[in-house]
Amino acid sequence: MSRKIRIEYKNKISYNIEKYLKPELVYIPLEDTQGNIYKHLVKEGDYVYKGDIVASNEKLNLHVHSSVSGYAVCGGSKIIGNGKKIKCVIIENDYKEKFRKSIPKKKVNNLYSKEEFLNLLKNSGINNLNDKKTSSDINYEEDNIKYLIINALECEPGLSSSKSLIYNHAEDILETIDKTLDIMNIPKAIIALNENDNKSINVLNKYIGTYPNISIIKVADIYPNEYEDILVKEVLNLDYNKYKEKILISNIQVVYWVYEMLEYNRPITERVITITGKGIKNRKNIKVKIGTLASEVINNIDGYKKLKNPLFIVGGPVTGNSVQTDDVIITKDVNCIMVIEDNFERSLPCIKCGKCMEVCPVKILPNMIMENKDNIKNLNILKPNKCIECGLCSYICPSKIEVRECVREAKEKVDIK
Amino acid sequence: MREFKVRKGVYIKDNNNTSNMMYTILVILVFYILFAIYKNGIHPVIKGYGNLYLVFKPIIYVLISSAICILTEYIFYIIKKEKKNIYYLFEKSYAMIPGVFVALTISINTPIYLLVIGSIVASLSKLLMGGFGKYKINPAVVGSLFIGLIFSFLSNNYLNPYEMEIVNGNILNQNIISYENLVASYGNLFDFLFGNVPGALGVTSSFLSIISLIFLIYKRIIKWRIPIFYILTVVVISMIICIIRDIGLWFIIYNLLSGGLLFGAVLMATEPVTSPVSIFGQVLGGVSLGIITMLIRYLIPIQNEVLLSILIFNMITILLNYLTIKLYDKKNIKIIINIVMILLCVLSAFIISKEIITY
Repeated sequence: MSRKIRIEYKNKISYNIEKYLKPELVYIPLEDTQGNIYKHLVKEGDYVYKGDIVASNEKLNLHVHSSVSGYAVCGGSKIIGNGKKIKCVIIENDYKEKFRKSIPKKKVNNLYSKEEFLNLLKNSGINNLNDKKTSSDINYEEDNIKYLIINALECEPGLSSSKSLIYNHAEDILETIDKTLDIMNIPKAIIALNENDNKSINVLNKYIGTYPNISIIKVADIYPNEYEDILVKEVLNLDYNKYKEKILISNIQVVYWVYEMLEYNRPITERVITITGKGIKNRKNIKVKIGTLASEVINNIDGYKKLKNPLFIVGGPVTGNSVQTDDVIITKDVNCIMVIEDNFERSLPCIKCGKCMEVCPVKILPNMIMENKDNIKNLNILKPNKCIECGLCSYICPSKIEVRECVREAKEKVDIK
Repeated sequence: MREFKVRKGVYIKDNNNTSNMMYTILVILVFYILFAIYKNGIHPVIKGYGNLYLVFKPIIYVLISSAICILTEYIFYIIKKEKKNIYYLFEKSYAMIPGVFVALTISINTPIYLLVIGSIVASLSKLLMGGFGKYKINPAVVGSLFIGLIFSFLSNNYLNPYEMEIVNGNILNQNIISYENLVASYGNLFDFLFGNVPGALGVTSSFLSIISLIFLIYKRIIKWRIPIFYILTVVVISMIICIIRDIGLWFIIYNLLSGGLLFGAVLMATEPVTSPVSIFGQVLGGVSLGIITMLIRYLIPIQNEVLLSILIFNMITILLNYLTIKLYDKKNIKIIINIVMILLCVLSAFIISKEIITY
């Protein structure tokens, strides 16, 4: 058994969602954080309607939509979540929010067949029912799915975007889950909630009576319960790797996108992100257009506090990336932006206390992997590729060593071989 | 647009850090020093043996040895031409900790020049093996054993003047197992629990060790499996001996409380750098430490059995860490090794019970 860890995060944020939906320019990068390359479909000077496909990767059937209407300006490159500078398509917002008129009218919801629904999902840019890095391959085309698990846990400490979505849109979310169950022929849906998140539980309990197929399961507030394998183990007590075809995992943001798709026939154009950290004056959850620059959003919510050595982090405190400027494009997989003080202690030599092994949720030996970094023979025995990169080893390390980065390196070495 | 620095890694960290852990241990050692002052100074002086110098002797020892350790490390880095300031010695290398351990684990009659030599040896053994975090053998054990074994003829015995009077100069023969010989000549088992018995300078208080064991486990500072399995093994082996040779149950408690065993178990065997890393290794290490201690205590006539067994345990640690890698994911072999260890326990109990003499 690995030791359970609860990561406390001090800055609590209210459940309200504010909006910032009027960006001057919208950037659509031609590569995503996973390294898929997109081809742009609009030329300079074209008029782009809201919801038009701007760039797509036909091989994997991935599409990026414009979240505003306006004229396209080609060229220019900006940073995306992983710190890479990527060429972008830029759209000047004319604030008219015009949709293309030829767009097919939405059907009465329950009349969608499964194929139509899946096609619609893909065309709306919801190519994966999970919007996180840890997501597995797309598996919703399988028949005979037994469970739909809605991961309503925050993917990292400090975030509260899914909580606030549940709190504000509980009824819509439940309705959407019910419809999805109907269309996809899934018998049961489970919403996994944080047991300390009383507000969302109360709100959901108010409406859940009318949906017999949906149940709520409270999961302990322990990191990293929100990772797929561990979540399935926690909720259903099953091994996710064996039942991959039977279980579908999604999360609240995606469910909300599906809701928008079914209700308004609108592709992904907005998402809720958490803006937090010591260096932000007004910490809050905010709904932004996809493609907005982070600097623009932050300047619109009163900006930064003065810090000595600020770090700008895209993503949560554990899996996030520190990037070099605040001109970062908010793509659909950015769930959090943090500005924090860089007051981390310098790392000391490893004292072999064994804490990283105690806490590792997949029971690998991070310390041994670190020691045998150059010994490929030993690395093959130690299986660093089991690592889910939860970052608990780096969190717990008393010598403040970035253990996860070492394991990640080892992982790459083993993968090459 | 604003520029930011880039830093890779995890951006939220646990409050616990290495300095915290090391200084907690140092604070616990202060209680042992206080105990040493009571045991070797205040108590004999009240009873009318010795003079006031005895009261200050433990604290002088500790100060000298830790000062020597810091000085050795400072000079070492000057000679190596590495720029390390004093802050580094305190905050990152914890130079004084081996010194305090050496002072606490030697006999009260050790001449001061031997203590200086021991501290230098301890500090050098740490530095030559690569400094903090890289040494393979507990430097305090090296320094203390260096004095205790090689110069044992100079450090006489473990008795302070008061105890000398009680025992009447009779040095204890571990092999004659009887309540009168082992326990009654120094008092009763409660004296053993509170540490008012002959032994090294400050390690005899088992009561203090038990409290610090609980505290350190609660604070998650030490690897709890090592002391717990160490203690369990000693209990099991002495229980088997009790059954075979028909000795009273006092023998089990005596084995636990004597010879600074609990101090070694709680504070020296759990020294993080030199003890096994994995859970498997910690359990095996604890068990083998117990077996080695019992074997040395009753088969080899020396007084430093706990320190010596910790030295051997540190060497086994290297093997255990190697095994941890090779046996990762091989549960069957681990189970076999565990069974072998249990058999070794029983076997060593039989060997010891053959060797000892009872009346």
